[in-house]
Amino acid sequence: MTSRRIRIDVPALTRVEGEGSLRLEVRDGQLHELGLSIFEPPRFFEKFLEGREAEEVVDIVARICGICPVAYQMSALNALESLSNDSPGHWVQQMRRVFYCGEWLQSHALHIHLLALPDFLGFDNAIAMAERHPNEVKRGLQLQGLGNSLIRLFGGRSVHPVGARLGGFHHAPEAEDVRALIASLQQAQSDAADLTRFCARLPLPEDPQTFISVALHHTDCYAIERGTLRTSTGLELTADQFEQHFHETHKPDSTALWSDFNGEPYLTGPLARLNLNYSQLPPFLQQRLNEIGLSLPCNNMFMSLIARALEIELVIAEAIRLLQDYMHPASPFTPLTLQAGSGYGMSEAPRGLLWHRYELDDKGLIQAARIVPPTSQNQARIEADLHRSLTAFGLDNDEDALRLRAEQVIRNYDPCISCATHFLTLEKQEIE
Amino acid sequence: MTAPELIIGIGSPFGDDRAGWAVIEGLQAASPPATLKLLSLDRPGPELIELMQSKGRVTLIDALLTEDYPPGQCMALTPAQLAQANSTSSHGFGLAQTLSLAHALHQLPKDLQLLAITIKQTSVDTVMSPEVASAAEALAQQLLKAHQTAMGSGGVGSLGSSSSSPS
Repeated sequence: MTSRRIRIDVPALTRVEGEGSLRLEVRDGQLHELGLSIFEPPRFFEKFLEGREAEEVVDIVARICGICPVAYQMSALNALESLSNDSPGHWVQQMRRVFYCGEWLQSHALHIHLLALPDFLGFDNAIAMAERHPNEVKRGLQLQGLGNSLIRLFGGRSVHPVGARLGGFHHAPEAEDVRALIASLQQAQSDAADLTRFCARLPLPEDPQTFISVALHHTDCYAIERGTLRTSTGLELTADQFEQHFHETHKPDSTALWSDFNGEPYLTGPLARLNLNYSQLPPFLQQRLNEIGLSLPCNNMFMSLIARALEIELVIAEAIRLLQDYMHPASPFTPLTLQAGSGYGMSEAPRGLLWHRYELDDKGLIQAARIVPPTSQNQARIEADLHRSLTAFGLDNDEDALRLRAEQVIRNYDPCISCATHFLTLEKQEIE
Repeated sequence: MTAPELIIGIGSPFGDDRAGWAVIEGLQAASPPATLKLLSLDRPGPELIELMQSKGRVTLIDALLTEDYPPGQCMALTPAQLAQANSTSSHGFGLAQTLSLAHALHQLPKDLQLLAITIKQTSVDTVMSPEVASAAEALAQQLLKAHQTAMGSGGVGSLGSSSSSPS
């Protein structure tokens, strides 16, 4: 055989999803060293944004991630529009929430069915699983497709959508298209309920642990596209106060930044959101919690899978509710004038809190940008979880079993590095 | 009556990775008949399975990053050959994995043609290299001619039965 290599190219600069590796050293049966190394490109984008006009930001940040571009767009818009004395208005606010519901739906459906379920059903990957569980995989693809349709409705396309702009959207959907999508969403509700029940029946490991939950909270609704930051330690912060308590540092074995909350690891993402906002779930989901026996707040990270299923049910119901009385607006956006200064914004990406800061000069150009993605925020928590979970699991397990458990633990956080089915290269060193 | 043919160009805005899109743009510029459905997709992932459902021939075109062939060559691949390529994409679901998943779910189009245009590198701008742009243009003309022949004769086009492959 020759040593040639053939690749289908996806340019690296547009992908947040990178390779991760875990370095594990077991000495005398003890976990001596554990290093989670992640390559995370969003830092490049912060430099790309410098010198760009504020209007360009929303399309540039949509390129950061192929799975959660809406999150990047909404956090950026929240930050930039905070520099205006006007607001985009009620219609835009509501439709942005629908837009975002589409992203949660497609991302969660993708994660559950194609990334996480093979772990718990005993398959190497979704392709192998599809042969034995075709209906579950088809259900996942249908739910994901429905989420993509919602994103397309406002974004023009589902991957790296182009419909959002400062002050609203470039284009408002036609009422006829909205009606058709409502019908599809209504039909999907029973599938989504079945998915939650299906996930709740899986033999998920019992692994209680202590952690700090961090999520947005909004007084009117389960926070998705806006809100103030709330922690399980009782703190409530606006976006401009984020940097007072949350810090990023470089680790020697990772090109990614690691975040801490006043020096402590913390959790952001679906389980953190449920832990902090479960009382705002609609009545049918409160019933579902009782039905599946999930009590919140929950300290078992493996329940993140069920949290995603519940959020799928939530966003389908939310999209139906918000689109039910859809009216085509006179204009899909409100022209906004931005003042020079620092703009802060955040929203809840499918996998957790996404915070942005922009410095805008008096010419309307970006002088500096800072983006703190959820994967960066969860890294310290992932590593702490791995320390605890692998030790509890048993370090005497063979390399394959340790690798599988480590991958399961990491996938609970749905990090961007979970992209590759076998993303983890485990280097286990045993020193007698 | 022969079912419409669906041609999907897969790519991204970056340099020669635009090749699949360029083929679709070439076909669109030629005012294709209504029996030819065209679609440009930006790394669709598993959603491609739904998007490629069609009763007629389905042709997928993507750029193939390779060091073994000069840029600008068009080759027909089987899904198995594609799976051997070292593809990377969002969340590990690139074209090869998506086609494998579709196969496992028995949702591959009955008449699927997979075409690749070889490229040497991508870039961060939108400019394509002359050889890849030329190959995309030539492929668009070939596809249009093959479609017209198929529609005229009621048979299938000749393109895609080539023995060219990266193996």
